[in-house]
Amino acid sequence: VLSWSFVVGLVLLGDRAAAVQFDHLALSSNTRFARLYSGRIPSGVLVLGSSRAVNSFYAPLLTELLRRPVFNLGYNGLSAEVAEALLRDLLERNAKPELVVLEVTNVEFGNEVLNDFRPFGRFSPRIAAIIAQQDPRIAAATRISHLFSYNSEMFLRMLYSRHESDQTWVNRYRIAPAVLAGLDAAPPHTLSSNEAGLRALRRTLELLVSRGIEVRLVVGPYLPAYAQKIVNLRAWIARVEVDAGQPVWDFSSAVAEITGFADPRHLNEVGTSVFATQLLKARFFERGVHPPQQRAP
Amino acid sequence: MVFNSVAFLGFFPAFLAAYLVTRGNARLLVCLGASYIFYAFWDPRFTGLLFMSTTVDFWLGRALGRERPPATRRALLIASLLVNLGTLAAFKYFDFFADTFGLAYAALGGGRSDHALRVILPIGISFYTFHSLAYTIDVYRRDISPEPSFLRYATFVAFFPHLVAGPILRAKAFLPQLRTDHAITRARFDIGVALVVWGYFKKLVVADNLAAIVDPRFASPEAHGALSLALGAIGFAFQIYADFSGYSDIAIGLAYLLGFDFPRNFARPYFATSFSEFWRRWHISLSTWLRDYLYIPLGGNRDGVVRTCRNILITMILGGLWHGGSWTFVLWGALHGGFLVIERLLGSTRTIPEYWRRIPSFVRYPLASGVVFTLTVATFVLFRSPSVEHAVTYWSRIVTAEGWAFAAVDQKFLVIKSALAVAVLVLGDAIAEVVNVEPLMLRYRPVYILPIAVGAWSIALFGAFEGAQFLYFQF
Repeated sequence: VLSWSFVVGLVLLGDRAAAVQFDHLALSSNTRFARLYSGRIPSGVLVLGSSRAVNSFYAPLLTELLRRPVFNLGYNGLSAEVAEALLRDLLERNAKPELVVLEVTNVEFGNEVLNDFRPFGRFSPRIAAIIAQQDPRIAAATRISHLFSYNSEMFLRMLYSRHESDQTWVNRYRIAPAVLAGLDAAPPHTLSSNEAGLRALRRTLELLVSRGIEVRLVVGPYLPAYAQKIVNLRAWIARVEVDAGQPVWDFSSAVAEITGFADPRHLNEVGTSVFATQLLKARFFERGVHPPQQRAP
Repeated sequence: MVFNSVAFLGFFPAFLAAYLVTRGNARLLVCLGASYIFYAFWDPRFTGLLFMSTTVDFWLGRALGRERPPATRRALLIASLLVNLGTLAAFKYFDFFADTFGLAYAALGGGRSDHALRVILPIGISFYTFHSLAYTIDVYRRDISPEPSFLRYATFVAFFPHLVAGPILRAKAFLPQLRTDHAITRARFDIGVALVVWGYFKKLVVADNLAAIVDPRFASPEAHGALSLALGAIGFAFQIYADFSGYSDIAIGLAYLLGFDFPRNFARPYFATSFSEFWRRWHISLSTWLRDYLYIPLGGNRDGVVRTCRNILITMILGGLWHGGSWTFVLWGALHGGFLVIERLLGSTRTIPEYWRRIPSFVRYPLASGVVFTLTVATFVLFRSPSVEHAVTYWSRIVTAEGWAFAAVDQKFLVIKSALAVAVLVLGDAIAEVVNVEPLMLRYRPVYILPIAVGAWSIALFGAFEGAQFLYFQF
């Protein structure tokens, strides 16, 4: 029993020691979230949203075109609820952004990819609370094994982006011909309304307004053939506008070139360049500008 | 219940406490009761089937022990075969044969018909049926005496470490172990725990991470590029190995720490340099079962080359069919049978073995294991696919599709993580191939503690905990 108590003690001690090392490694990494929690995000334009935000707003190009810092804080499957928590953490630890761009199609999502944010539960009580609410067993497991907090893709991304910024993250391949060919036969898609997501969006907007930060709500580009398959796109945007009390910039059809897409829902590197031109043409990043009049739902 | 469930974390300590405070029949009762609870967690209705199979074979075994006339003994054996194989046929193969005959009937212009039952396959049925069947055959052959205690026999059939996915036990080796009360010794406990940790590492870190890569590729091969599909096929070869051998290691480790010896089920099969060696290293308890109760009774290698080849093919096809009622399993078994036949024919010539031996061993061994591994991966595509057409699509897209650049592979981080996990698995196997680790672990405490600690940390850091079932449960 003594021998095995020693083994278990050693395992737990090593677990904690390794987790502390990983904390340092995490905060010194150059992933977007590591920079958030170590206060290294510059003031300027901040982009938030899911993979559609990641692959629509290519920060290095926009920084160059706008001549002011653009920082993309998007992540695959990032829900509006987690986005709200990240934004609150950002405002506590970093310089206030001048403009926040919210790609709003993430209000569709629940917190399914929350596991990826498990490492940040160690730095953010807000993220930890959402994780505990989503799956109490995971929260309990992270208390037993601190290393378990680092059991996520994010940890691997941190290692990968140890010395290099992940702001260059964008799709670098073209949509597969098989996917294009299958689109005609694909069933129509309906955008759903997640009430928790809409509530989180409203709270986010209230926060930004209370801090005097300008905000843009936007729907990024879809592959035109896919956009046509979305049966309720206009009605869905109208619903978000009513709920949020803010206009939504609808760029769903802004990029027509098939070569600009990695898949029906995401641009690639070529597409981001085309989209950046469209954004500048629409004076999207200028202060006090409103979206051009949009078609009725 | 599965070994990788939260329920098992509560179940095993409770069982261990009850096991430690009991002796004799009370301990057997604890083992039997715990095993039925373990099984009932999956579906309590099928505990009745398990009990029925146990009772029938126990009774037939007793009757076989008493009866003298050969005709009566043969009739009793046939009754056992009918009950066991009939149960398997009803639950596992009825739909396969009904669908096959339905298609054949439709092809002959008889119109479409569907007589499939679509019943749930009771978990572990192939394993406990083979335990029982081997017992009655051994009693019939007078290799063993019939077991007088129903409690002991029922524990042999249902003992939870091996119940749902093996290793397939022989009554001759396991029933005597149930006749004594085993003390839990320090050495047994240490080695048992080490095996359990290594098994969990294989399952949670290697197999379940690979599952997330393999599943989408086999679900829609047409949506993936060539490299992506090739990685999916190689990934499945390691997934099934890590999953099944991981389960076996946990089962053997748990039994070992309780004082029981289960047979070895895997012996680093991907280091095999021939298919006959592969089958001496892969799912050993099934291979030896098929050898002893099918291949040898068919004549084995006693009646010339042609009959030997026929016996190999029959054994391998039925071995494939054991995995499930599907043409993919039949063809998989037939292909492996074909490889074994080719190997035997090449080995029986005079010149080829001589030329082969002339090649330096540092070239010969990697070359041979590379060929065996490549063909094993290729045939596993068939094993994993839902249909033969699906497998053909998968193979043909690896050859004809574009996308050999790593940039075109999706889930890159998962692929890299899984590749590292596979590298650790292969390294562990390579060490075990050249060094007998067990005495070293018992003699030098740091040699024991370090792998345990690293294993536990790796499971916490890289394990997949989505509660995926073990692959061999479906068989």
